[in-house]
Amino acid sequence: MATETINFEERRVKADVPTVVVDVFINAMKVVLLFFVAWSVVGAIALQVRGELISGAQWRDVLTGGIVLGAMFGLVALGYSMVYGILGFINFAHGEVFMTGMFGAMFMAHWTARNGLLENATPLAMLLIVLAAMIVSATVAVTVEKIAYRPLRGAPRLIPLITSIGVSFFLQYAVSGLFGTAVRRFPELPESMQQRFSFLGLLINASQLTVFIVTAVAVVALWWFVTRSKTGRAIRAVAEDKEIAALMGIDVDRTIVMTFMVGGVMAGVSGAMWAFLYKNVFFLSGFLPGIKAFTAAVLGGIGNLPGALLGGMTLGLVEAAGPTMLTAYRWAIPDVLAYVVGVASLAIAAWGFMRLRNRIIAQTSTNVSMVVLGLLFGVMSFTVLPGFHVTIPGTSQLKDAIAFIVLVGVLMIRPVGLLGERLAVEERG
Amino acid sequence: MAERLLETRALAKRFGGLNALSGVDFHIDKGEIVSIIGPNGAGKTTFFNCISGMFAPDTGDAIYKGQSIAGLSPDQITKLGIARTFQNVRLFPNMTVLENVMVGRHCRTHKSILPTIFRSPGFIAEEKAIEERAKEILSFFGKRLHGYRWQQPAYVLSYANRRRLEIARAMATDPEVLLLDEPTAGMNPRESMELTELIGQLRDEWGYTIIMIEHDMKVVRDVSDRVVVLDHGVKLTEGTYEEVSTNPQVIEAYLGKTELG
Amino acid sequence: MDWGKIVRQGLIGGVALSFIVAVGLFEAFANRMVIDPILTSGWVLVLWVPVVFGYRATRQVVPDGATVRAARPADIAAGAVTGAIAGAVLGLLVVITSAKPDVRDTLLALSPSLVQRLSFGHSVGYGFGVLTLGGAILGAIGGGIDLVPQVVRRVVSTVVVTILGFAFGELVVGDILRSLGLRSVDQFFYAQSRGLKPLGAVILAVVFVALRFLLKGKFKAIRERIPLGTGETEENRATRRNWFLVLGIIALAAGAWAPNLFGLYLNEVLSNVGLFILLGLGLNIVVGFAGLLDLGYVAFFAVGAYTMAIFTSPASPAFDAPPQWAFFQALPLVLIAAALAGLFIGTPVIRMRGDYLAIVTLGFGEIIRIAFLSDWLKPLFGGAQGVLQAGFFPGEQRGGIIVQWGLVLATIGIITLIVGLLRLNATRLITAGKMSDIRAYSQPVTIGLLVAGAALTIFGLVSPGFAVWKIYGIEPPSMFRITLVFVALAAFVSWRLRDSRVGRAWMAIREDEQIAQQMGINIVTTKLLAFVMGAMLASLGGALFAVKLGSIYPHSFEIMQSIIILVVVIVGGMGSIKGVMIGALVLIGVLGGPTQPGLLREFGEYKLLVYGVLLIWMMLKRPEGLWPEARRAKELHQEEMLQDAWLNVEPASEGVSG
Ligand SMILES: Nc1ncnc2c1ncn2[C@@H]1O[C@H](COP(=O)(O)OP(=O)(O)OP(=O)(O)O)[C@@H](O)[C@H]1O
Ligand SMILES: [Mg+2]
Repeated sequence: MATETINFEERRVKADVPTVVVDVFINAMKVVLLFFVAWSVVGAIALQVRGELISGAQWRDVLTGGIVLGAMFGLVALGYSMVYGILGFINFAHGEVFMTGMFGAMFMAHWTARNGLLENATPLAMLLIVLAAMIVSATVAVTVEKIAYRPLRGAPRLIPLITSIGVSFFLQYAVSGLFGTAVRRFPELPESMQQRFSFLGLLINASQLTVFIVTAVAVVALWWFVTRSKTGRAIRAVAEDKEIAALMGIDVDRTIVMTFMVGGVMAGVSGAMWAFLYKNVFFLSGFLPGIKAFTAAVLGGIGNLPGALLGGMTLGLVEAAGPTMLTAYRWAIPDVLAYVVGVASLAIAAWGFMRLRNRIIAQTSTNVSMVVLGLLFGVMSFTVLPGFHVTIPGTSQLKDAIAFIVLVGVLMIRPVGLLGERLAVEERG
Repeated sequence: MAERLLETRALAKRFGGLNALSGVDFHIDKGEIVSIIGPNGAGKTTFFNCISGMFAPDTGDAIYKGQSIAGLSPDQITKLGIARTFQNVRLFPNMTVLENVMVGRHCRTHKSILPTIFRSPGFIAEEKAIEERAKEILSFFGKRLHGYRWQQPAYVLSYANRRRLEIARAMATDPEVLLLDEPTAGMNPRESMELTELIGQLRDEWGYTIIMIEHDMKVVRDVSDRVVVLDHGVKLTEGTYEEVSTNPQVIEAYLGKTELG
Repeated sequence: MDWGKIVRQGLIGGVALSFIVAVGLFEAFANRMVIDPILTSGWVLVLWVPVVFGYRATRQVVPDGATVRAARPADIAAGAVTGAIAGAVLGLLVVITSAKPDVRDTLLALSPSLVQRLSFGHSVGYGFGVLTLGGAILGAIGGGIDLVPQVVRRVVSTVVVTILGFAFGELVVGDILRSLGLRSVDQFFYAQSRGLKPLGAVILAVVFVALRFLLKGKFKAIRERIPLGTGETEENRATRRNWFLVLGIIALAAGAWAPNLFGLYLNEVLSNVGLFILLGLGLNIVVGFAGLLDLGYVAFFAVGAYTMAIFTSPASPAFDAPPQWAFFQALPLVLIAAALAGLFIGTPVIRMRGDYLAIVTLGFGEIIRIAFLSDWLKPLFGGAQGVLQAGFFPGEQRGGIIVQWGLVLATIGIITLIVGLLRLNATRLITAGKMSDIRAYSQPVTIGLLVAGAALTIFGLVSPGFAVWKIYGIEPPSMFRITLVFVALAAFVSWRLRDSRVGRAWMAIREDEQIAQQMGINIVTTKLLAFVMGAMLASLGGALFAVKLGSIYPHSFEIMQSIIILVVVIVGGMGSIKGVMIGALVLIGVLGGPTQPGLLREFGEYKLLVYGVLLIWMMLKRPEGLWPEARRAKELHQEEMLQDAWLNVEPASEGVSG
């Protein structure tokens, strides 16, 4: 046999150089990311203390804006999270489901405005608007599931994902064809909605408060539905293990439809709030918020419903505060701080070097990263870093980039999200 | 004493609150065939996964020819000479039979981008060698995976043939240690008898050292030099088939599984 | 008769009809004639619906193995009812629209002219009647289709395909006829509106029906005479390789000659197709070969375009004294930049789950676009204004590519030298017994290669400019030809990589990453290699794009681009080189690219709607694409496949334990 010519003695355990390089690079990205986050936070605090950043009132606006935005992201994120948890694919079209909800709300709002309902019976009008959005979004979500996703049960992972991209396109351009490509406006709100008043220490206007209340109601209703109702329990069972759920007599297909419906309803609520708050509605309005909501779902831990809300809040706050935080890079790093970082880095490098001498091959990547990154940061801390600062013009242009960087960072540093992911047994890869 | 090839010391692995493996000591010498048996969920496959690099063990060490391999990546371990098959056969379904085996040669060959694009003579020679070797290995299974079968996609194969192909693919990596996870599962008695014979040949003619997880006690009896019993992640006992099969502890673990006697 | 089903199908058909009309497709195509005064393509978009739903209403789902119920005359009636319902729904839409003109505020396409058109210039009630009746007739055709003899069905399908083909391919046919000096033929067949004349249509239909019946079986006979051989012997493989080479060269020659036949517009379309083939081939390596769903592929395209623009433009924002390199001087830098970008984006995503990879690459694509767009990096990339005058020739107001034939020859010479040296080395190794004697390398050929290579290299380097071509970016024919060269290169590289150790490793990773790694494949380097190869091909596309347009803006690199390249690859057939070409030809050629128009200009803004529908439809009905790799389907042995039909499932993606 040909085995005789094989030289088994040459086979020694050794580290694979390209893999180590890649690992070091990944670690470097993580460290640099954390460094910049830390710099911006410390810098913002330092500047704020000196009163050079923004005023307290502005912070308050940032905060309320962030929470409100986050609440809406969170509601959309629920839909991504539930579908991913059960079916294991990113439903790209969910952003468009959200967008159709915006259109539903907008048309209903115009109708109520023409009736005078919006002016005279504002709460009733709001209820109608939210209902319309919920119905539209849920209908779209369920129809899409039935036509495009159901035949693909059990197909390879990428197939439904690609299909959902197709659905997303279809919905976008169907809406643009039906209702035009122009931006449509939500009708002007009655005076009563413009008032600002203080709420829990935050200065907030009535429409923001409305968003808040509606979101809270939606979340409570969802919580009740998922934990208390029969269908909700079925959803949770299917999310655990489709096969066993089926054996227990649960109609899996129907439950999946219910999941899409619940996701659609939440997206609809969120869409109504979005249209109501930001006024402009057009066929691409769902795309970016959709991707950000997915980011929120991952951030919180995919498949994890409280996680989706928490992720949404976090992302909303990051996005609202992001541009301000970017300006904090003009805070020059003080010499002393740089030297402290430098000494710590060199210590880490030395530690890594010691570990490297233990010759545990499986740890090579970590050890080399410690040495290389420690040295790199050590050298930088004594040369470039003291007094280093960057002024970034047009920080608000970079808002979306921040959201994506958060996504990349989260997936690199903690792929299971803040609260941990929950996937159906079938989808655990 | 024969050369000690693979050894684990207090190997442990937890999944959440479940101790899938707790402190398993195990060893195998060159040229041995050792069977691992145990009831369902005993941690046998997890043991394989820890040795083959699919999971890193939580604590404990796996030592291959005097070197620690715990925590290395699966490809590194395969390169070192430990190859495996899977309980729930996992071939590359859309690749042909021949290609499946040729993939196994990957870690023993080197040619990369430039020679490939230029089809350098070295590349052609290597490619040819890969193919020849793959065919040589497939012919180990006689006519079953031969001739027209080479070009069939793996998904058209019968269940028994898939198991064989998986073994062939593992053989293609030129292993010293072969880990077979329930190689006869789902085969009819004639097929498992045939495979039992082949497993003997794998040791005698091809020189592999074999660790095998198996539920079929006839197969275990016929080929193994030694049997290790796992239960709840703990090694219950080990010894020859006769010793183990009469051990009351083992019988209890199986709760009266009659095929033992 | 299953009334529930009939009504359901009828209503769905009606909704489909109303959707096509309300979304504006009907109006958009209203003025494009198929057969001049008789049939517009708007109607073509609508007419098929009742037929299909009429058919569906009478079909039952038959489990495999059970016998199909024979078609009955009652099916015609059922189809007619279905069609009538569908038509009536559309008719109702027309009635409502004319009764309440303010629906137009919401649904823009429902205009008075639409009502006019759909009621055929008469009253709305008349329109309703005609639509219902027409629906019924078409539905009856659909329902009764199985009652018609096969010959008739063949004739009808040939007629339909011929007429639609010639009507929609009018640009191509017209251009060819004109460039052959056959203007009168063109005028005989096509009317002023560019639709077919009725007589022309009849003649074409007759001719093609006749051809179809005359040539029946002839093609197969010819194909069988080509000695491709069956089975995987070395000899068969060689024969096939030779045929492939011959066909490739013919295709290349035909491609290079094609621009002569076409007018400016078609050439523009053609060069866009070329560009997308190039991009598609690159993405095909990443998605098709290695199975990594990269949704930020446009990032590499952008990196290529920006690198090229910055180093060639006299107005480069990044430099005070722009280097103003020539295209081929900047090209190595473009490739390096793309490779680095590939590593940079590829590295962090390497260990991520497949679908996380998709979304993260998408994120990176956006990050890079936002960076190009930002004021912050404006001093480098020009912000929203982009980079102007990319590739402009010094002292000229336009730019493109300068080809110095000396350098081309030198490159060919160097490659020849390398090949010669490799052979020399192989001969040495074989005589020294270090390599198995696989193939005899004839000594004279080796020496000939070495000499020729050296001569070409020296000659080329001594007089690099002995012949110089200036290819202007604004001349589509020449741009198409140079794109073709790059496409050939990309196809060649893809092809060689696919059938190799590396290609097998990619395929294994695509099939089952975990197992691939367990079989000894280093997934880190293997995946990165795919990323880098894909990135480099995309950057070539970007470089060509930059000099073609002469100016680049960040908005040329939106997510849309990535998605459309992906659709090209998927529709063509993931992993299939020829599939990518067909995909690009069909999609970019006919529908058009994200910003580029195709043969059917009328699609305009509906292009992306159609892309979406195509993507969904492909995934549901034909996930392997239009022209997938056939090699695996070749020798399936039926009996073993049937015997194991129950096992024919996708690989489980669950954990390792049983
Ligand atoms: N990836 C995993 N995640 C969580 N739990 C796991 C995982 N793999 C195995 N387990 C658990 O570890 C225990 C041991 O599983 P293992 O597959 O090793 O058993 P086994 O002895 O191979 O059983 P069988 O005879 O059924 O193959 C089981 O309870 C199983 O559920
Ligand atoms: Mg097992």
